[in-house]
Amino acid sequence: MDTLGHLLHGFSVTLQPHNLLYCFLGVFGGTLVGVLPGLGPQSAIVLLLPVAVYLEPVSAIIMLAGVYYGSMYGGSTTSILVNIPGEGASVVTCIDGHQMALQGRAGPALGIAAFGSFIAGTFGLLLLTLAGGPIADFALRFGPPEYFALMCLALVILINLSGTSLRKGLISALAGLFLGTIGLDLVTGQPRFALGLSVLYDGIGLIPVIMGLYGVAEVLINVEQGLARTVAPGRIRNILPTRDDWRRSAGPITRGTLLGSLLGTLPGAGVVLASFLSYTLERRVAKNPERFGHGAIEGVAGPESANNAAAQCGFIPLLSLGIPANVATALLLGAFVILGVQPSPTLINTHPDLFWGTVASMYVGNVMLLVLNLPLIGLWVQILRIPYSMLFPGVLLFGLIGVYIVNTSIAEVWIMIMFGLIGYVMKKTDYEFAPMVLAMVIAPIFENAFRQSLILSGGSFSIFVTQPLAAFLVACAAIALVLQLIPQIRQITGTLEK
Amino acid sequence: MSWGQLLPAMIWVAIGSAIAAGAYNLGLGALNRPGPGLFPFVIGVSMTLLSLSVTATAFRVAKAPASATEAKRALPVVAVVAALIFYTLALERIGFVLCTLLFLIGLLGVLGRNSWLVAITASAGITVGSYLIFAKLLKINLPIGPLGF
Repeated sequence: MDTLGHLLHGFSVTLQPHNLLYCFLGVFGGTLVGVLPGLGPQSAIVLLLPVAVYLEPVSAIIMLAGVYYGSMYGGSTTSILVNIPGEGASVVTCIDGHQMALQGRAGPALGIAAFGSFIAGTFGLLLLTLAGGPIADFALRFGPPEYFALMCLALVILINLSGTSLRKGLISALAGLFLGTIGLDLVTGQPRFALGLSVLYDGIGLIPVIMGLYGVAEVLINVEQGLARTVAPGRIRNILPTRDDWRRSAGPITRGTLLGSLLGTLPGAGVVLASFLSYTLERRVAKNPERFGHGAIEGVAGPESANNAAAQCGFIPLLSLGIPANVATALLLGAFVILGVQPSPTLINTHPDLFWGTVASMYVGNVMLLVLNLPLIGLWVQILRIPYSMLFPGVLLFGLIGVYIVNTSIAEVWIMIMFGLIGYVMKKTDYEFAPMVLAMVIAPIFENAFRQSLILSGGSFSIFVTQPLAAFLVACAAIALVLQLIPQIRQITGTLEK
Repeated sequence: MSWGQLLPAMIWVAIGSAIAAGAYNLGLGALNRPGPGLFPFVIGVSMTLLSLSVTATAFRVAKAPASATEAKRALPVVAVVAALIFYTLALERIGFVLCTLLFLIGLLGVLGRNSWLVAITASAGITVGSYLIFAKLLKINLPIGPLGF
């Protein structure tokens, strides 16, 4: 009952005209960027972050959250129509979604993706509404060692899923932790690694770094692969799924929603794993699995539901623990900090407007997306026709101006260009930068937990294994590490046998 | 031996060592009284050890076949970086409008190989549009050039 009262208060925040407008701008902008080829949720958040810092915190977070889940919708549209996944989570949607489009059933594919996303997103939100408070209450008991262990777990899981080797992922994460230590030491006030540059004294700016990585580096990779794009989607008819489509999709949507909610809540796992596992699950439970890969609607409904449920549930660790569940929520965490709010278990009590306003705005945003997307499919198809050679100068320009206006600083623009090159070289040499971004965002709280734990224990590392909860989390992280090692063990034994 | 793996791994070894050395100079403190350098020192040492082990692996894996198109493909990358550097150097000197216009015409016309009519029209449109959004709607002070815009 108390929760309902809080939620109603949240709606009173969200339904203020200016917040409704920012919510709309967020979901619309997110879908737009998600539809644009080569730009995913991360790029969407990054490109709109410089604008958001000019708003008051509640409006800014409402808008950026909208950008995030809006871009998830947009990503499925490009997967289905032109076989280009906007982001990792829609890779599996390409398989059957694009086959459906080739068979003239693009409409139902888009329709079921939108309805499935809506149902799953709303369920994920219900979970956030009900569980957010209790989880935050529970987390109030967390001390520094528990936080340290939890962040280790999040990093390890993220590295496991980032698609690079364990060692390269760890190196990338360490680089991120290092970037987070640049600037004045919070305890002693001593400048660290600032190289005497005034721009580095307050720490290296998150916005120039991520704009370099997700704006500039992505463009560099794309222009290298050639500017020509030949795919042009046809006309879309009959957007509404038939009764038969619904009958086939009911199970996948339900299973995808539950799977996605579970995985989304787990720090580090996120949306990509949810959609992959959902696809695998649907193929396994299907009566005739040979239809998969040839336009089975189950292969669209399941993964699309799973990734949206996971996207919504990613807000649970973010808002109630202050720990990002994936790169996109790490960027949102960064946005919170830039706006002067540090997410933690106390957020729900100290900033109820922010917490419940954001939650309520997501209910509204999900409805907006459903209402917007079905009739606006024609518009998105037109946007898909924009060639990349017209698009990338705009992305670069937005990055340049965006970084410049945050602090009116040319030095930060240089940092952006530098990280564009760093990101490009990292991608070329198989070092994913996702772990680096997540690590950089959590570095300050990570280091703080590390130092506090050592002080508490009088200098003994055993504190991470003698506290039951911390020990449990460390064990989870260790298991996740070992699981990742197994294929490498096989590889080594394989070469020995030769 | 794979240079493509070895070279980046060696750069990471250098970065890791530099971090560890810099952190050591900051002061490690004691374990029960961690100084400002302790956490970055742990990072630097771990990074050095991990990248050394990647270096060791790189000696064992087979060399990847070199691609002949690689050098040709790098050209647009260099062009984009050059355009970004131009923009950063010129922005506060020649003003937002002129700088943006030149930047877009260069990328759309030369690199994007759109026709000049399309490139110039689109550049002018985007420049005016972004000026209106940033300067008028969001009321941000954009750099003004010697010509007064």
